[in-house]
Amino acid sequence: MKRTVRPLLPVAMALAATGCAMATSPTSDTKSASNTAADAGPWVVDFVDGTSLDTARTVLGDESVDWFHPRADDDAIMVVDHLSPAQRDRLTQAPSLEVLEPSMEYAALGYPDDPMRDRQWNFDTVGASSGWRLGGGDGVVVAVIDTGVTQVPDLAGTALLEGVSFVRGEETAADGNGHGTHVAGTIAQTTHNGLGVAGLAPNATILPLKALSATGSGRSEWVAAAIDEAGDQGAQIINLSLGGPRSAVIARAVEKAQRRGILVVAAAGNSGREGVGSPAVLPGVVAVSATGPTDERAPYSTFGPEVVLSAPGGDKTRAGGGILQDTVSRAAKDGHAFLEFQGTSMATPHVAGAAAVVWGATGGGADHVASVLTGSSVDLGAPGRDTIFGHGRLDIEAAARAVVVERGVAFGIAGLLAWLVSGMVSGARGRGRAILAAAVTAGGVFALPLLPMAPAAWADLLSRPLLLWADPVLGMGWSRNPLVLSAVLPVLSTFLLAPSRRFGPWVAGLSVGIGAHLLHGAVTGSLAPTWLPGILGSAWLAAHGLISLGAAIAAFGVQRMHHQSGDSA
Amino acid sequence: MTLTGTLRFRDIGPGAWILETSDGTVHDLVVGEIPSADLRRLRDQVVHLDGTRGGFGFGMMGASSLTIRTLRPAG
Repeated sequence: MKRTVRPLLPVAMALAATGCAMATSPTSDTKSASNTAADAGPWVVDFVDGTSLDTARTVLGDESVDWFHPRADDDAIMVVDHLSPAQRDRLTQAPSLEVLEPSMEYAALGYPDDPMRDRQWNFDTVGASSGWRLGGGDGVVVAVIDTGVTQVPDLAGTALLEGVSFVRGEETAADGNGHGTHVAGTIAQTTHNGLGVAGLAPNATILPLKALSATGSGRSEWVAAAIDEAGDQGAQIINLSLGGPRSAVIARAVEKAQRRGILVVAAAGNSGREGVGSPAVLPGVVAVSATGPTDERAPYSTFGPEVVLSAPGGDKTRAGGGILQDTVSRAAKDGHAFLEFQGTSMATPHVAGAAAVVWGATGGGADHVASVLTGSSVDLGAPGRDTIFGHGRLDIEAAARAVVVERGVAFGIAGLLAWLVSGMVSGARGRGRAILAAAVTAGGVFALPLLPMAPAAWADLLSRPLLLWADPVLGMGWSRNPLVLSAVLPVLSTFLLAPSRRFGPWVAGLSVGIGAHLLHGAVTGSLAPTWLPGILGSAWLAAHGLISLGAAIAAFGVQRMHHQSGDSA
Repeated sequence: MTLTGTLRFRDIGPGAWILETSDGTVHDLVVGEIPSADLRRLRDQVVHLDGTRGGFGFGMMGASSLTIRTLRPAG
């Protein structure tokens, strides 16, 4: 090999294969490594091709060193953690040495570029990047009922609705404590802004509802009123990183929110003992316990049979083991700081953020989202559901795979349905186009989020079923509008375009696709039309699904008639 | 109600205070108007605490929560 960095290119290219790659530390491209960096390890030691391991060990004076990878023996590359001055001198004089340089960290280029992202071990644990490729919670409102939320610099690009304070004597929803802003940051910290840290669902909208004062405490009636307000303002998810005594007024508010189709996520508690607190203990609430950096139960985390999921809550007994977000700080000169907190309060917004991602990608509803998250969680502790971790530790990467599979199944079923429906109309034309249109309408280009690429709005749009384009295209909340979740588009397009030779088959396919999606939503609860809770919503979806299939049959029929009349003419 | 116990600080969220009574019961404390300097001064000491039950917070460490009215060192 020549004395250049070329021998390292295959390694760099392999790293780059998972996305464009970039170095994040200084480089040195010859054997004369600078003295100033002499103590910085680990070091990449690249010998001339074919150098034996014995020779390399002799030069380094260390019999324990080995090639950094079994397949790196041809290239004769090893990595050593530390080099003594004597070792460095021997290496630089050895004819068998080609390159000596500090090992450089490579990272996926472009997304996210938040400089402190690498301190968010918790995001690696839960597979946050999969959520970013799945739309990042676009179109979903998460109510943060807490000490308020202040738009600190690393929340500047986050969508915040106008908050409401229910705390006596504190008129605005600004955060006088730091807890609520930290929680909001885990959910939707502004991401890819070249500043600070990232959030799990950066495209979600935060609704700040202050029910805890600057001292971190609140009254049951404040919490209950905030839960009601979340429903009034159309939130899909409520994050409750708080607890207290059992309260009937809060229980009623939670029940009402659940009847409105809202997913309620709450912290299990920080007693370190068994006995999940309220409101986490209430029926239907996703109670969240906390884990540390190595997936162990965080020492403070409460546990019990009501725990549904666990998520990283941090463990500050370990260096860097807390949860890092941007939040208000009275001690900081400019009023904010990137602080590590720990607690089930910090674990809870991980679940709320993940729920926002899944909700945005599937259309909800609460039971379906909870089912995706629990079904995709990593089973820790005793096999199956247990009192420590619930169903398991949150895994957004697996949840994203489940969503993609769900879309893939919808793709296949809709295609099959189009084939069957077109078969019911003898002489139907354009069956191939109709089948393709049906499949893509119901399932989108479903595999796109699995590609190792930076999140992009166009990719998110293409990967979605057509009905779920409503939020990104029309605006937040439209994907739950009963008019969107209806047969309006199939009927109108059939009426206007079915006679067209060019568009007729596409219209028929689109109608089948929408029909299949609506019927699927009715059966699984994955679509949640506004104003139509429970059985009403399912009935609406089922009826419009069948009308859509009827429209498709009509479109095929019109096509056949036109072709027959054209043939006879 | 008046309780006697050890005042402790716990690193939960931005930080939270608790009262640990001799039988091991933990109460989350709502500090209200009590100056933080007073709390820091009495940290890990046995205190007499007069307060009212109830309230919600992010501490979630105790069986109940108490809003402090007055706080003084025991003995």
